[in-house]
Amino acid sequence: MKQLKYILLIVLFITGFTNNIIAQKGVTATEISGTVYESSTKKPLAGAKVSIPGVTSAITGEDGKFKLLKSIKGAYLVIDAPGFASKTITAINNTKEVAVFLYEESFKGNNEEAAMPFGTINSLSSTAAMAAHQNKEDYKLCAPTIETVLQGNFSGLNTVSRTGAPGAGANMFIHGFSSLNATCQPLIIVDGVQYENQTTYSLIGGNNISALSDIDVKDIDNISVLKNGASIYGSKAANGVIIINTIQAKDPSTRINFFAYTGVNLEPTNKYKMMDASDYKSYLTDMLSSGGLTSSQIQSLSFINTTKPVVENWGISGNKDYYRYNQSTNWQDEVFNNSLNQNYHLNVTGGNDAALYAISFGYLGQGGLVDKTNFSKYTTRVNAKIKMTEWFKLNTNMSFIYSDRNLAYEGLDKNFSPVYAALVKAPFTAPNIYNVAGEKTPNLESVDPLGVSNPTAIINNSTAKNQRSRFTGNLNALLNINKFLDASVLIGITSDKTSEKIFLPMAGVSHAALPNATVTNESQQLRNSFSQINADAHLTYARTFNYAHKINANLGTHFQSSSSELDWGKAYNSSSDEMKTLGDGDASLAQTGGSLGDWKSLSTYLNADYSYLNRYFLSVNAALDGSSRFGKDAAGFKMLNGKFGLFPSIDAGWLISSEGFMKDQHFFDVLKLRSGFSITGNDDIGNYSAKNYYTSEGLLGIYGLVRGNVSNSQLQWETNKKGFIGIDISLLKERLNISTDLYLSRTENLYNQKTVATSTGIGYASYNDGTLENKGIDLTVNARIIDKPNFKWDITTNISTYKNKLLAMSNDETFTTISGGTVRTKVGSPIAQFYGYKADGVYSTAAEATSANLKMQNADGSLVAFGAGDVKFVDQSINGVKDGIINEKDMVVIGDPNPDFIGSINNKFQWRQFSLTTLFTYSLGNDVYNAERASLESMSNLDNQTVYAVNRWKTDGQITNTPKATYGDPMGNSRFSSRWIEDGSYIRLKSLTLGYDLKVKSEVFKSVQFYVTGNNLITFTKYLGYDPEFSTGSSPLSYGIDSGVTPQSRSILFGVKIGL
Amino acid sequence: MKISKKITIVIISLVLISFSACNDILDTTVKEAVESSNNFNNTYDADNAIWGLYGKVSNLAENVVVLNELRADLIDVAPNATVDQIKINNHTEDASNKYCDPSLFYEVILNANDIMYNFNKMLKDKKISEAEYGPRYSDVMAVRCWAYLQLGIQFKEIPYVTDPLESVAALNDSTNFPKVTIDQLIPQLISDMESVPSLAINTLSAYYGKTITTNGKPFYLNMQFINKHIILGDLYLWNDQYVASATQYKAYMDEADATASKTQMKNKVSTWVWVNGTNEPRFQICYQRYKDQDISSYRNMWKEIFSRSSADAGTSSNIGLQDEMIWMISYSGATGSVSPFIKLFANSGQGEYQLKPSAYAIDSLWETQVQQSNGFVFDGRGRESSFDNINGSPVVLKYLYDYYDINSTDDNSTKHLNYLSITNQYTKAGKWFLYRAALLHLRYAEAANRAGYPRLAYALLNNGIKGNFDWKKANGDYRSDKEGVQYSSFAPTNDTDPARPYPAPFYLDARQNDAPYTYLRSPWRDNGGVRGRAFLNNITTPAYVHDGIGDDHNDSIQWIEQSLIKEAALECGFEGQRWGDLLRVARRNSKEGKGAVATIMNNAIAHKFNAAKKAAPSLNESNLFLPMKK
Repeated sequence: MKQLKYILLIVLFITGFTNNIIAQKGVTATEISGTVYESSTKKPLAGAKVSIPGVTSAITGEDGKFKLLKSIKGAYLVIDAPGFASKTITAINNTKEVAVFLYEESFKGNNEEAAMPFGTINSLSSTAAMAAHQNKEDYKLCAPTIETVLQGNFSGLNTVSRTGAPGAGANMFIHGFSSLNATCQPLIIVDGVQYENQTTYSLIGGNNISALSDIDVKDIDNISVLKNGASIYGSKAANGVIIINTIQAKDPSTRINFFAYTGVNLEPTNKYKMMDASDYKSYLTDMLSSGGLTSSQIQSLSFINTTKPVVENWGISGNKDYYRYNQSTNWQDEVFNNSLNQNYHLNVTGGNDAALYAISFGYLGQGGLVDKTNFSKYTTRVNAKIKMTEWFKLNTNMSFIYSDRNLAYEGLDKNFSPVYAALVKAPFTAPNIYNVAGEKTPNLESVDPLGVSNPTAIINNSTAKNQRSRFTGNLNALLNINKFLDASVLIGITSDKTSEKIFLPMAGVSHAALPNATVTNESQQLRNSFSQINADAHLTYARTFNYAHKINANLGTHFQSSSSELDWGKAYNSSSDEMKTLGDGDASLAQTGGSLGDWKSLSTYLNADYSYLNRYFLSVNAALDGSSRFGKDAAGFKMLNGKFGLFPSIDAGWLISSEGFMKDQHFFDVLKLRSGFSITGNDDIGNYSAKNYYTSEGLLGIYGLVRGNVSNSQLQWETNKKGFIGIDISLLKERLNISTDLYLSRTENLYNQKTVATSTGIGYASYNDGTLENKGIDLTVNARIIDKPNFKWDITTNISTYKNKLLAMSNDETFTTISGGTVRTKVGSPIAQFYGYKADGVYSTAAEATSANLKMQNADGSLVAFGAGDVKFVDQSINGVKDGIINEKDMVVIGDPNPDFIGSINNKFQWRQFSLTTLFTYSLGNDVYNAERASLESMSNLDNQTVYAVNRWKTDGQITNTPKATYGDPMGNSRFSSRWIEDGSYIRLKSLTLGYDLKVKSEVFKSVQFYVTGNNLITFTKYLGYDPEFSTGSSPLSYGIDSGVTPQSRSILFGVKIGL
Repeated sequence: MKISKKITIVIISLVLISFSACNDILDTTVKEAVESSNNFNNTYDADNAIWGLYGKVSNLAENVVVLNELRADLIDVAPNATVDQIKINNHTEDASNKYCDPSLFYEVILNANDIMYNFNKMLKDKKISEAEYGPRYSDVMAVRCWAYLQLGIQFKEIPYVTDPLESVAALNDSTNFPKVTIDQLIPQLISDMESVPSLAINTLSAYYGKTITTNGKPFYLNMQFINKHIILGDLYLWNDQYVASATQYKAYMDEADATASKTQMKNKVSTWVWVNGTNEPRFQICYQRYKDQDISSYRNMWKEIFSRSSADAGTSSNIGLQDEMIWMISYSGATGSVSPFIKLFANSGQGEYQLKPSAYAIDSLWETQVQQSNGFVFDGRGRESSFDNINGSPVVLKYLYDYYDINSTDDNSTKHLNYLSITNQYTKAGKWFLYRAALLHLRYAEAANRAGYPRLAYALLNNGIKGNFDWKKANGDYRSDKEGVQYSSFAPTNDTDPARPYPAPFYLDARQNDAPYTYLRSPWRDNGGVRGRAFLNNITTPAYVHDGIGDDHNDSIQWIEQSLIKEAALECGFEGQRWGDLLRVARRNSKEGKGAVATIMNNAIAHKFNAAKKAAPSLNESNLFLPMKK
């Protein structure tokens, strides 16, 4: 660490030295005059303040004119007027007369303030590839989680809701996928402190929950997405950075905002069309008979037999279960329901000269589509800025959030998932038992004779609760050392706890057997705690020389220590469904488990931003990062008994429109070129992969120790190298703004768990192996189409495209099986392509099948010919030869989950006090493997199928695209093939909001806004599943695989915001 | 509040620098596992490591049994066999076959290598004394040699790994994975075993001599550990070093004789006359005294070898099973300690009935044996012992004694299982029998036969030492005890001189004399021979072998050898020895010009397919050994 001390000394020396020799002035007596107009009326605007901050200022007169007597070469003119968006323009050399058009406050122009790692920056001066967002109107989205805000507002950020489960949140991918096995999720910085957002392990099948979802939208002040130039965060920044700042008091005056909304979630309309009772019975009979049952055996089954029961003197004749199995139930209707949402939020900002505070409280109650699921959260936040002395300030941010989710199992689980059980459940059964007289009883049905749980019983009798709490507290001391030098010391504490409580009853719910027992009921609990300490100290040197050379530099060090603990327990077979604790189960079946994690990192970083005449910008960032996860022999610098990686970046910007030669053109308001190159890392390589350790191995209940791994002492971070070129253009008096970024990134040293030779005695070892490339374009256009005093129309569109390609890996091809599908990752191809058989219809006749002469190879090597009613799988020619056998050699790429384009279209209309906004999001050209449909149309078992199965092949010559139904599907007609790959493109009206600003002239109320919002109202898609927008796992390998997710709800909500 | 700016700056500077002050700031310790620096610090760690190694060994049961039995002739595929099993049975497997994956064996080997590496380091660092080191190190080496021998008899080319593979750099170094064939492997393993500091039992282990209770059952741990003499004896036998081999086997047998006052000697395959209510025959098939013509007095205690628990003291003060069992691994039935054999063999409960006894084993081996005196034609070690008909299908029963409930004990105290009753079908307790006395006797006999002592082999195989070395006088009378008979010896040259004993390691003393002259209780006095203990007639020898068994005619020796291997099938069938036995002898015969090894083996396994009326596969040089999954 000696190096750091030297660097520190050198910086201190240089700053002291330059203080003494540079003291020239760049202020000239050049006059600048001009006129400020209101854009919508084109009339001059009086009372606007025009200034060169710190130098001179003027107020416009009735004619909108101003005159500044002094000027600085290249200085920014800042124009502010109450009710209008602040505007910054460059005073181009020798410009005498400028015309400035101001737009109303909510206008999104090209020079907003954007949050950066070290404070905010005017986007005119920014060199990074980034997107910024001010949270002004987001409350109108009525979004239960803040990921919704991230959707549609940031180009290059692909935010995909995980599922429609309440409070499920979203996965986020910036610029494609920069890793295969390490995380692809961006680093999140909240109020200057890293916010760990990994999804926590959940016992509730199919659910992934991360901490970010618990933050309340209305606690957010602004968000920036740094797609590049984040080297300051070194080994954690390879997936980009999202900077979130929470509410702050802007001035001491007391402001109170009260928010409330309530509304309804609507049942999905695009349900699967399952067979009805009579179609299903016919299907079931076919299936049972192909399973080897004789027709008399089938007729004797209680759910087939159609003899009505008659109560005789001696008992019951006929089928006593007739009425139980001759109902007609639409099971999807039984599990989905409309539900209510409500939200109340209060925030107060204010203070005095010495202290500013922002306090908020919130409650959210969000209903789920699946009956009895919901999400509620309670949020509190206190942010304060305290001025201790003129040179010493303390900032604190504290928040405590508690959330409670009542969830349902997701996925293809007919025991526990109410939705999937509803799909496959026999429609002739009913939720309640019908007695021999045909009367409905209040008792719920138990598991049916086909082994499917009663969805209503799952909903009513089971518990699947997830409770989370997170405390974050930061204390930041800011010290002004001298005119140019500041110091900051920050300590941040995060404590995050998750607990889960699950009870799956015996009544009505089917259970898989344990290896050592049959299961009647099960109780499960989980505790997960995570804590993190962040300590950061840095020096900031900010100075402008001659009003021309502006330097802002930060040098600091950041230490992070994290630990996590997971404990879970499962108990089985308690004596009653009323006995739900872990202790009530059979002790010999109890299972426990867990894990402990511990990781630390130390980063020393430098950031230096330099600009000349506000025209040329240069930004240099570098971090020297060490981590407890890196191997002792990793590449990098040896320091502190460990290895450190260097992550530098350089970005440059050129504001061409401020050049002297541009002063006579009026086409470009802003023309800026940006470019940069950065190296960042991904340290998600496992806490202990670089260390040798021993795990326990039991024999007769005594545990010995055996080798746990073969460590890789050279294991290092993944290295992401990324270059970009960007252009920002403003035209037509800033009414048309275009920003585009072109990037090329390569992740080298991909973290990989590779299968090693069997003779090593260890299954896998961790390696850095492989290179992944992503390239793409982001384009944002925002335009004010109509700009009339009473009517305004803005459009903002984002469009992004990326292509990824695996450039190198020692295993040329790797295959991963997910939900019955195979994804292939091959060198030279995009990652995670769907890899399976190509299907080409169904053999209509035996003659057709004979002439095709294709055979299938059974696992034992025997060959069976495909016949009439089987799927025509394409026999690929290998080296020009078709071998006539359908086997794994005939598997080809049948789909690519990567979209061609993703983006959003945001329209905003304003008419008097009314506003109407629509947000469309879209994903085009992506394929989806619909594993749920593959299972609902497999026609291989007794589960109910979609109506597609009605059309199944039955007789020779029948022309159909549905193969025959055979129990067990011996010919593999339902194998992973192009039958299950669908076009997952969609355009969704994510939100539509109609707002009304009440004009208030009250002592009490400062503002009142009413609005009504519709979410997910319309989705245009050909996708056959519930919902084309889902992201069950954050791994790129599971992208685009629909393994049965709850759809997102359509909701209509009414809200109000009252400012006091 | 007055705050000094300078002091504040100094404090903040100190904070800044203090981040970088301590060198171990980035150190973390693995909490969910034991970091290598915290292991191998004392003998407790050493014993824990050995216990973990045996935990890994216990995972090998399925592979060892399937490879050695299904590839050979005693086990066939049952209706629910997996594709991999069918291919193994038909010798059409490829490297992707589950049973061609040697990973589990190499897990044992990796851990053994790691332990030995660390034991050496501990010795160097004085964390362990020479005395503590020796038996433990040798134990681990023996396990590794056993695992390699198992690989060697199955696979074509075996990477012979001795490096502890501490980091992935070692994985990429091909010199750590030299490939050997069985011909190179066996001498290597012999030199490995010869180099160990001690061949004695590792009584230092924290677990030796202990009985532990788990899942409500007691387990006696002495039979848990490999015996070094025996593994070395086996290796010599594979290498055709017969005297060396017999020496090791004999050394093991002598160890058990240390306490000579015992009434029942260990590992002597004993028999004695059973009088109802007075003495208990142990592990013996017999009839009540004087009732051997009456099937209702039939008594099968032999199967108790498989039904008794390791901790069962029987009627004696010592652990009963130790008289027979040498190496056995128990599964308690609790989660994580599950017998793999229930899934493989049982056809009820949680069994999947993947494998079954071959028709050949039943019809041509067990059901053709002739019993002593009464001439009943069946082998008590077969029906209701090694196999039985359950629900109308033949089932390998040897491993299922802990699964089914005991139905009843008949009048003769023979226990019977109730196949319809399983107390808890999910409690899959069981045992894996790796080595026991009868096998040891047959192996020792195999060595003795080839070393020039076929009579000794004949005695151990058939009806014991006493009966076969009770030389007669010229007049046909038996010589009296005190004249030096009833021990393994060359035939006396005259009627007066004692017979000249066989030299060590072939000298076995079976003398017993109560009165009036000498009280003699020699260790081998109760040895009844492997067939004798099963109440079977001696094998009938062809003329060229003749009763004398002294003939060292090659064909005679080979004939005896074949008889020993066949007897091993009858005695130890399904116990995971068969393929190795056939291969070892086939290699020997091949060297003696009896054809290619593959051809000899092909002829041997053809019996199974012929008896099952299936087409026999062709075993040749290319599939005699398995391809190894890389």
